[in-house]
Amino acid sequence: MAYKILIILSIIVFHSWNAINICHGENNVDERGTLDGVYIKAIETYPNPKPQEFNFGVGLYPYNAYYSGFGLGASYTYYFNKTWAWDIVNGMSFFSFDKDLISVLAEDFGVEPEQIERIEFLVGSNLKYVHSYGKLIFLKKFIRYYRSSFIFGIGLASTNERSYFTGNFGFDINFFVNDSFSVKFEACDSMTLNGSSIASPNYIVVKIITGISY
Amino acid sequence: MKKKILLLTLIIYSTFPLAGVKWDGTLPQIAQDHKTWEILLNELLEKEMYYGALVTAYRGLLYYDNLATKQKAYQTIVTLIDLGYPENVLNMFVTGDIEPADNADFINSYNFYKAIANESKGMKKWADDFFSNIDKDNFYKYLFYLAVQAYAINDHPKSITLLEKILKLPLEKKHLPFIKKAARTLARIYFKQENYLKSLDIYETFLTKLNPITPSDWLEMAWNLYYLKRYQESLGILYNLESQVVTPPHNLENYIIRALVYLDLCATDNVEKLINKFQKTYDSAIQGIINGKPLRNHKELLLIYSNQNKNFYDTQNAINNLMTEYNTKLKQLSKDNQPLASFIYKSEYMMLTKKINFYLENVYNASATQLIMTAESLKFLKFSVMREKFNPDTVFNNILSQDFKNSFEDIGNRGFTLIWEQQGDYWRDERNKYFGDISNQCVK
Repeated sequence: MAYKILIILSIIVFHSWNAINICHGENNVDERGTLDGVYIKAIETYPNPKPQEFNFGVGLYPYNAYYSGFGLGASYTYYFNKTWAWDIVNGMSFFSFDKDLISVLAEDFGVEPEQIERIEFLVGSNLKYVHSYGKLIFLKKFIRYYRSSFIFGIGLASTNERSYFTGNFGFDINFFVNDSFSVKFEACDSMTLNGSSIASPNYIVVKIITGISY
Repeated sequence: MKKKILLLTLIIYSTFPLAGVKWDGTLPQIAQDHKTWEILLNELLEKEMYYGALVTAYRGLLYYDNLATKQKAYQTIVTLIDLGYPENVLNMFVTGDIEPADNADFINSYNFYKAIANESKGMKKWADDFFSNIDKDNFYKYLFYLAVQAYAINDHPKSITLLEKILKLPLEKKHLPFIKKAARTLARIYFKQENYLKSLDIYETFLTKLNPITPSDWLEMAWNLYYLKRYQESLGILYNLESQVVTPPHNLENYIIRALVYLDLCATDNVEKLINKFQKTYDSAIQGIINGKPLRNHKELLLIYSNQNKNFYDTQNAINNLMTEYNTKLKQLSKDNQPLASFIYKSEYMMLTKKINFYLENVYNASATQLIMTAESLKFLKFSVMREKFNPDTVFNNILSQDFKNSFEDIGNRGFTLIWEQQGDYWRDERNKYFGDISNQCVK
C-alpha cells in the first residue's frame, strides 16, 4: 500500500514539476534556458564583502523548562577567504525570565524547585565554513545576496552555579544589505563537555545579528 | 406599386433638411458645472489616475469656455506629457486660445505645442508667432524639436550638438521621460552614423538600466552588438525579449538579428531551430495570408509590431489603462466625484472602442506585410548559412568566441564571478548580464 502511494506521489510531483516549468516562462523558450538551442548564461559578480566583521545582536535561549534567556552579544570575525572564517571571539550575556512552570508547580502541586541553574553568559571562539553563496527575492521585491556557514568551535558557558567548557555547533545565514552591512540569523548549540550526568546542559541559542564589515 | 415607390421617395427626401441641422448634445446634469470638473481633475491627478485625468482635461476644453478651466486643462495636459503620457495629444492644442500664465515652463510648453499644432496644419505664420514666444536658446523641448528636424534631413552633426546640449542641461528627475527620449534619439543617430560603440554606450550605461525598461532598447542594443561582432552578447540581450515581462506587440526584427548572427557564425542547427520556432508561432497566419483567407481570422497579427500601426497601439494602450484605472482606482475617489468620473471613463471607453475599429484593417495589412517579409527572409536563410559554412571568405574569419562553462572564478581576494545557466525567465538584476554560449562554426 505504501509502495503504491509512493508511486502515485512520484507521478504527481513529476507532472507538477513540468507544470511549474511551463508556468515559469518556458513557453517562451524552446528548451530549458536556450534560445534556438543556444544556451544562455549569466555572468555576474558577487558582492565583495570586507574581511573583518564586527557583529552585535540579540539572542534567545528558549529551551529551558523553567526560564527563557534573553541575550545581548557581540563578536568579531575575520574572513580568510571566501570559504573559511574565524569567529575570533563571540560572547553573549543573558537575562532570564521565568516561565509559568514554576508558578504552576507551586499552585497545583505545592512544590518548588530549590535551585534553578540559569545561564549567565556564553563565550566562544569558532571556525566558520562558508558552504553557500546565493541570492533570493525578499517580499517579492528586494533581491538580496546571502552566504551561509557552518559553525564549529569551543567555548565557555557560565551559569549561576558553575562553568562548563562547551563544544559549539551551528549555522548562520548572512544577508547583505551592501558590502559593509549585513543582517545575520544564527543558531548555535553550545554542548557542555564536562558535565557529570546525562542531564548536562545544552544551550541552543538563536540570534539576530547586525554585521558591520570593514 | 407606384404609390409605394412615391411614398418611399417622399420619406427619403423628407430627411434631407436634417442634414443641414447642427448636431448638438446635452451634457448629463453631473457634468454641467465646470467647478465639479476642476475638483475631479485635481483628485484624479492626486490618485495618479493619469489617463482619466487627460480625458477629463480634454473634455473640459471641449465643454467649457471658461478661461480658468481651459488654463487648468492645458496645465494638466502639459504636466501629463512631461510625466511621459505616450499618445499624441497635439490635436488638443489646435483650438487653444488662452494666454498662458503661471510658470515659465508651462508658458514655453504651451506656446511650443501651439506652434507645432499650427505647423502641422500648414499655418506657418501662426506657428512662427507662437515660436517667437519661446525661450529658443534654453527651452529643452524646442532644442529637441530642432534636433529631430536636423535628424530628419540627415544633418547629424547639428542634431548631435543639440542633443548633447540638451543632456547637459540641469533637468530634474521629473524630466526623465524627456531625457530618455533625447538619449534614445542620440543613440539612434550614432547608430545611423555607424558609430556603434558610442551608440552602445548610451544603451549600456543608461537606457537599459532604467526600470521599467523599454523593450525596443534591448533590440537596438542587440543591433549595435551585432555590428560590433559581439555575437554572444547580442544573443544574450535578445534573450531578454523572451521574458514574460515583454508584452505584445512583438518586433520581428528579433528573429532577423538572431538569423544574422547564426549566418555569420555558420550555425546551421541554430538557424533550423530559429525557423522552426518562427513557423510554430506564425505558420497558421502565414498560410492564411498565402491562401487568401481574411486577415481578421488571424488575431495573432495584432501581436506583431509594425511602425505603421502607432495610432492603433496608442488607442489600445489608452483603452487598457482607462479600464485598469476604472477597475482598480475609481472607488478610491471621493463619493461626490465618482459619478462624474464614471461617466468620463465609460464614455471615453465607448468612443475609443469604436475608434479602434477604424484602424483595424490597416493594422492587419501592415502586420501581415511585416510577417510575410520576415518569413521570406528566413526562408532563404538556411541555405545562405549552409553556403557560408564553406565560403572561403568566411572560413578564415577569426571570430572570437569565449567558452562559457558554468563556473565560479576568483577575482581578487574575496570577490568572484559566477557563470550560471539560465533556466527560464530572468531575475531583474541579471537582465543585462546574459551571453549566448555559441562558437564560430564556419569550417576552417
